[in-house]
Amino acid sequence: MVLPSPRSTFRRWAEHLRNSENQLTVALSLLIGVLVGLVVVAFILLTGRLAAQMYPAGGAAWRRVVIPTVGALITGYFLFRYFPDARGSGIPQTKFAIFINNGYISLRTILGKFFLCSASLASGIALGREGPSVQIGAGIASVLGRRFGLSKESVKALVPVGCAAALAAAFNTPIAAVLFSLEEILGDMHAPVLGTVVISSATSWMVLHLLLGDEPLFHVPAYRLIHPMEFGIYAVLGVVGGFGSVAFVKLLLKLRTLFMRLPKSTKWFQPAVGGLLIGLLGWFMPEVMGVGYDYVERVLGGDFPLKTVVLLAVFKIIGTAACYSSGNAGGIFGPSLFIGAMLGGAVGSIAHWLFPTMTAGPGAYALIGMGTAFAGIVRTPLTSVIMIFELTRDYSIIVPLMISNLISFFISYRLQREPIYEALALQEGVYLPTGESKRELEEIRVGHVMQSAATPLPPEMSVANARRRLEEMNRNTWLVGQLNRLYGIVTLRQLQEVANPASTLLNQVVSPESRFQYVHSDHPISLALERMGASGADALPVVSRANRRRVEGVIILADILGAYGVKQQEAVKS
Amino acid sequence: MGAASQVPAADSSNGPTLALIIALVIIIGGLWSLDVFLARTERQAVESEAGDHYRQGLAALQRGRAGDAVDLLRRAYTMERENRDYQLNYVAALTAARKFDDAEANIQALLQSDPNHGPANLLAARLRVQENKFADAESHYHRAIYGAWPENAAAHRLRVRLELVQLLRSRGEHEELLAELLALEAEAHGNVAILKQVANLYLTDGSPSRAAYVYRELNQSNPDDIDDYVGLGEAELAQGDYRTALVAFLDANRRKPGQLAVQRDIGLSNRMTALDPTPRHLKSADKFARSTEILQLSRAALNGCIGPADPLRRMLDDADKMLAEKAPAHITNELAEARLTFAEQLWQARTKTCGASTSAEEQPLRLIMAKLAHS
Repeated sequence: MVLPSPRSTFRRWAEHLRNSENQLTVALSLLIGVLVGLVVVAFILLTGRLAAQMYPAGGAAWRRVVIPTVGALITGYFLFRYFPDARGSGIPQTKFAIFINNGYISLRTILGKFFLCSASLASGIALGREGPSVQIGAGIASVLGRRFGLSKESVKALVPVGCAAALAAAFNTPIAAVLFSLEEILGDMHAPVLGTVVISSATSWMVLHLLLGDEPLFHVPAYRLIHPMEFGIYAVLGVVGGFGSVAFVKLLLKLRTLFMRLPKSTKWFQPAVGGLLIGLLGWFMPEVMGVGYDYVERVLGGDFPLKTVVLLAVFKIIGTAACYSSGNAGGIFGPSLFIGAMLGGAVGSIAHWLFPTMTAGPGAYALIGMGTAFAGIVRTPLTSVIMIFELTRDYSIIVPLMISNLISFFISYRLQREPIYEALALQEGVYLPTGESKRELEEIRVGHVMQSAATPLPPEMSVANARRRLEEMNRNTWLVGQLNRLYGIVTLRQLQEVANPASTLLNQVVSPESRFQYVHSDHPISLALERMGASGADALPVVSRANRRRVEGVIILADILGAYGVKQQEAVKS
Repeated sequence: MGAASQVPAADSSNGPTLALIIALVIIIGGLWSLDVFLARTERQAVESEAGDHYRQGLAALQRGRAGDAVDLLRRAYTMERENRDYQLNYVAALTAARKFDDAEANIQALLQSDPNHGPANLLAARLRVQENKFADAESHYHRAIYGAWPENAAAHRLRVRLELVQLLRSRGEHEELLAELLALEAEAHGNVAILKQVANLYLTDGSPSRAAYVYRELNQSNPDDIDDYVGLGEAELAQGDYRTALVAFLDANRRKPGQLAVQRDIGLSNRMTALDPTPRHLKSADKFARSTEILQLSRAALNGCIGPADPLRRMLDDADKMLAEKAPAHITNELAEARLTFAEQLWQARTKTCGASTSAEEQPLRLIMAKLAHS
């Protein structure tokens, strides 16, 4: 017996995968998890090592001004000259990739983001590492998808897979990573990529654990509710967090508008402005520089005076807004948590001072504050609850967290309508579909748009008459049968292909048992649109859930477009 | 931001080629090696920095600078969460700095992960003592004693039990104290230093017979240690066995002559032997004479304690009357007992009025009264 050679076995396997894109996507999600996990761990460790070299223990204070300024100047030049897509957080860029560029992120962007962001954060720029990790992860998924010859749609579907893997490794929060990919990146909690997103998140998390062990990002003492009155204080924290979030987002957007108005020739050194500002702030309070998770942990331990936490919250809001808007590479996840922890610490200190026997220490409030600011700034309330839970592994915080998150989210929503990433995209002239706008559209059901008075073409009608009827109606599709016994649908093309239209009856073209596209009245209109797109029909029957051959109405393309706010001339005419 | 940058189309004719797979394997291997190297470098740097903070923190704690110790040890512990020594000393620093809430939170976290952890329970016990929660403290001391210790478990357990004994002693919980001393004695297994402490504690806390037993054991294992003979002598004195006490003090003196304290003890033993009215074969006349002397001593003790207008002066008058009575020709034991009984009443009145006697002058009377009270 002759055994097949390894090369031929591989060829057969490769051929099999090529022919089954779904299987290839699942296999790739595993590979993406491993690769992204490794890259993100390297990114975090490299940033930490670089920072340790730049700021050795007991180093002189002038370093805190010079290093971020010079660092931002150098990285700013490279960003301007070679890696323009590696600026900023990485989340809006990832969404551009999904919604505009068919999931395309270049290898150059990944490399630029990795090295420049690492240098930038290590130099003390007050931005976070998670957003960039997400873009790096998304980029790796995109590159792998293309190299493996996937279709554009499949490459696009892989991008959130890379995002989840990156966030799981960067934050050590595999569940929140999945939720974030669905809630923020895709804006769809029921996205069909859920399975692959979970696989990559879990794989990446395992890589992280193999390399760095089982350590949560923050170690927090076990907090408990001392008195029911504390729920009220957590609500106050929600209010403070909400206003703090709005202040941060508005300041960032305003500063960014100002920077964008400056001449293009200044773009390469604009990041140095952010670097200099954070350096000056860092001269007085070094804690405000860099990612700052060490200090967050100290505040979570309840170990900072009130004046310090208030100053740190204000300085971080100003510093991060300036660093981001001036065009440095880095995200706002980490700063959101930092700002939230400081605001929470401040509220907790005051509450504990006023009611020492009825409240937990300031650390408990700092913990909740992190989620509160995250929910207010990033506007992903579910992700923020799960993320803080995973970061701290403290179940007792869930209810207070939900209360303050919801309040913060509501205030932020009322005072700053556009979520931050969408607002940043709008400044670029790009409209991204937000989760909220998608939900609003999903709330429009077929039943709201359908025409109830639908009269199917009788099966005994001749094809010639049916063709005339469709042309009169300006439709390419219509229903055939009776209201209680629908045969199916017939298209104009089908009718045009009939040889003897005058002598041929419709029931000879459409049988009573034919299979056809339809929708139910409780379906979202997006599904109707999807099914129309798949079948090329401009009208679909709306049928009963109890009996799909009983007609409840008809939905036509023009009405759906009208519901989306897009009116076509033809649609208006019809 | 290149939102609408030029997008090359995906080449769907490509598939997973062998070269691509090999390249990916190499990239993964390379990244893994890089990560392992970076992680190791990071760990070494963190361990070194944490170690520095830890050493400085311990030094600060030993110098009594609890605030600095808290700061340094927290940094060390934050860097190396797995290091129990860092965590324990951080809690110790928090307790020393009287940051009881923080110490409590940390110790609870530690105990939740390992309720049987000896050092953690010891720290918890010390924390409870600081918070005046003595019942909880005793419970944690016991958990520390029976808990797991990473090294030198037996020595640590002895040390913890001694600490518990000191707590019980300071709180005047005699029964619990004696129970712990018995356990400590059983666990000491020839540990001379511990046995000496145990014997001394027995002696000072109301169990001289057990003290004498332990001192005899110590004498056998270390016959040249005069402290043990002195201890034995004191235990025998406390028990009222003055002759045996004298023998023990003489033994000590023989092994190391010229010790003033020992010679004082010998003198005291002689004095007690001469004053003791309880020996079985003592003649009635001798017993009467000793009883008379004891009555005189009691009278003097009460007289030195009360003021000129004190109602207890009546007792002194009665004593004077009794002492003035001429001894009959035929002296009976009952006469001696009557004087002893009255002497005891005088002593009780003195103790009630002026508190327990501590003066060296009254030591013979004190010892006699203790013996009479137990006989």
